[in-house]
Amino acid sequence: MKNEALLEVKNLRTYFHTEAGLVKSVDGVSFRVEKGKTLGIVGESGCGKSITSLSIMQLVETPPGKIEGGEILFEGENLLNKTEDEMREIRGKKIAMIFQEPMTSLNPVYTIGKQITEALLLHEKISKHEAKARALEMLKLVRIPLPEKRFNEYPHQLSGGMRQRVMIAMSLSCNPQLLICDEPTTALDVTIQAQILELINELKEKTGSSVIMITHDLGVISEVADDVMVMYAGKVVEQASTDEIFENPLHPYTVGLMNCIPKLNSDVDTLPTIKGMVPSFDNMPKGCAFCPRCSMAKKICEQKAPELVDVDGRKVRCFRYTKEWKEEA
Amino acid sequence: MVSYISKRIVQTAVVLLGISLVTFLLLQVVPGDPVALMLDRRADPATIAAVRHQLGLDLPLPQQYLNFVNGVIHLDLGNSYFTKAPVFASLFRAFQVTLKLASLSFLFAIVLGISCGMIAALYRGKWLDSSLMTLSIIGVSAPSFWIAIILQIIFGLKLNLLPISGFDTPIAYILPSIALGTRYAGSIARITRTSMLDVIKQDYIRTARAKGAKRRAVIIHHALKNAMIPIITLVGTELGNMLTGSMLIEKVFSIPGIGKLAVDSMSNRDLPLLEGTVMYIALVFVVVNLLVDISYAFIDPRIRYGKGAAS
Ligand SMILES: Nc1ncnc2c1ncn2[C@@H]1O[C@H](COP(=O)(O)OP(=O)(O)OP(=O)(O)O)[C@@H](O)[C@H]1O
Ligand SMILES: [Mg+2]
Repeated sequence: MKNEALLEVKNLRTYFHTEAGLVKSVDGVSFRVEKGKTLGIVGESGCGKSITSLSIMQLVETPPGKIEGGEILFEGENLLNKTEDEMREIRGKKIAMIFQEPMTSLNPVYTIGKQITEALLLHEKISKHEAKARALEMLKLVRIPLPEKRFNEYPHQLSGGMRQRVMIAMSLSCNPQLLICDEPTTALDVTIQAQILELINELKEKTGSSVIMITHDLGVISEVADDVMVMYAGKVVEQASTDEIFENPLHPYTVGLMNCIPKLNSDVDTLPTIKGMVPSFDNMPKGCAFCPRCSMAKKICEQKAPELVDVDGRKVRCFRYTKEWKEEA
Repeated sequence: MVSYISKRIVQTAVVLLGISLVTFLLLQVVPGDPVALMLDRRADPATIAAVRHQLGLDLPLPQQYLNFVNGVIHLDLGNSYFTKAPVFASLFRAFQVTLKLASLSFLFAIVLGISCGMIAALYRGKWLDSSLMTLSIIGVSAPSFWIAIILQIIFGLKLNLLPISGFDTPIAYILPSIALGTRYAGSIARITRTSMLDVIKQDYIRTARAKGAKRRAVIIHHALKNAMIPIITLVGTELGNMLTGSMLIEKVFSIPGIGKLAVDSMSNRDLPLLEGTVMYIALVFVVVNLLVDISYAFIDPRIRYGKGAAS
C-alpha cells in the first residue's frame, strides 16, 4: 500500500538550448516523494540532479534552459501551471532549498540575521521583532553557538559548516513541507558532513517534512534516504527503496557506484572507480547511455536505448532485465 | 571600521607629503630661471639677487622645501609671478566653478550610466541591451569637445534654448555638464552591466530567489549592492578627473575653472601657480581615493572587518 504523495513528478523534461546544441539535462524523469519521507537522488556530476530540483522550484535560468514538458504535482496541483506570483508563495514557504556551496550561497554584504528574517518577513505576517525572535530560535535549533552574536555577523565570519547550518535554519524557518537539499555536504569535511546530515535528519523527524537529498555519494543516501533514484545522463536508471538498492543493486551503474563507497576495514589503498566518463550531450551514444562504460554490455545495448522496466516492483533501465537480453544469449 | 578609516587617513597624509616633495623637486629642474622670466631682460644682477632673496630662492633646497610645505599647511601658496594675485585665492575661485560643473556632470553620468547599465543587464541579449551598449560605445569614444560643439549647435544656435558659454547662470552649466558627463556615463553604463551580469550569476542570488523574493527585489537588494563595488572604483577615478577640470570643455564653453588655470600657469611659466595647481590635482585624487576606500568599507563587510577574519 502506497502512502500519500506530497510531490509527484511525471515525465519531466528540462532542456538547455545552447550554442553547441540541445542539452537534454532532464529527459523524462518521474518520481514521487511521500509525506515525511526522504528521497535520495544520486548520480555523477552533470547527470541532471540540480536541474531536476531547480525545475521543481522553477528557478531554471530561462533562456537557455526551458521546462519542455511533464507535470510537477505538489499536493495534487501542477506547479507548471502556476504563475510566477503563485510560485513565489510556494518558494521558501512550502518548498525550501539548500545548496551545495555554503561559501557562496549566502549574500556577503548582509548579516546572517537579515538573510534569515528576509524569508520570514516574505511569507509570514509578523513584525520585524517577531521575525528576529523566530530567527534566533532557528539558529538555536540548528545548534549554532552564541546565536545572538551570530545574528549580527556576516557570512565571511563563519566557517563552512556554520554557514550550512545557517542555510538550514533559513530554509526551515517557514516550516516547509518539502526541503530540497542539493549536495548539502559535498563542500564540507567528513566530520562536519556527518553532523549536518544528522541535523537534517533530526529536524525532518521533528517537523514531519519530506526531503529530497541530492548527492553523488551513496554513503549519504544510506544514512538519510528511504527511497533512491539513480540518474545517469538526464535519465532515471534505477528506482527502489534504499534497503533494496543496497541489498541488491540491479543496474550495472548502481553496482559501480556501490563499489565506489569506501569500506571500513578494507586494506586496499585505492578505491575502485567506474572507468570512462559520462558521455557529453553532443556525443550521446545511440543505444544505452551507459553502454560505453558497461562491462556487461551486449550488442543490443549499442543499438537501442533501453526503457525503464518493472522488476519485482522496482524500476530499472537496463536490457539485462528484458526478454531481448535472454534472446541474444 | 574606525580603525580602518583612521589607517587610511594616515596613509593619505603620507602620500600627500610624498607628492609635495616630488612636485617641489620637479619644479626645481624645470628649465628656465623663473626670476629671469619675471624680470626684464636687462635687469641687473643685483636686482635679480634681491628678488631671489625676497622669494627665498637663495636658501638651501631643504629650507626652501620646508618653507613650501609650511606655506601649503597655512594655505599660502605664494603669489602668481604673472598676475601677482595669491595662488590660493585663484585656485579657490577656479575650484568653485569646476566643482559646480563637476557635480552636475557627475550626477548626470552616474544616474544615466547606472540606470542604462542595469537595464541593459536585465535585458541581456535583447535589442534594448544592444542599443544601449552601442550608445555607450559612442559616448565613450566621441571626443568631449566634439559633443560640446554639437550640443552648442543644436541647443544653442538652432533651438536657442540654452546658453552656449559663460558660467554665471545655473542653466549655463547644463550643456557643459552633459558634454563632460557623456563619456563617463558611457563607461559607467558598461561597467554596471558587466558587474550586474556577474553578480546575477552568483549562488546567493539563486538563494534569494529560492526564498520566494520578487525578482525586482532580488535585483535591487541583493544584486545591486554587490555590483556597486567595481562601479565605485571607476566612479571614483572619474570624479577625480572631473574635479581636476577639463581643459577642453572649459575652453569650448569659456568657463574659468581649474582646467583653464592649469593651461594658463603652464603657458606663462607661472611657477607658484603651477605648483599650486599640481598640489590641488594631487590632493583631489588622494582624497577621492580615500572616499572610495571608505565607501568600500560601508558596502562590503569583508573589507570593514578585514579579510578572512573568521572568528
Ligand atoms: N546554464 C546552462 N547552460 C547549458 N547547459 C547547462 C546549464 N546548466 C546545466 N546545464 C547542463 O545540464 C546538465 C545537468 O546539470 P546539473 O547541474 O543538473 O548536474 P548535476 O547532476 O547537479 O551535477 P553536479 O553533481 O556537478 O552538481 C549538465 O550536463 C550541464 O551541461
Ligand atoms: Mg548539482
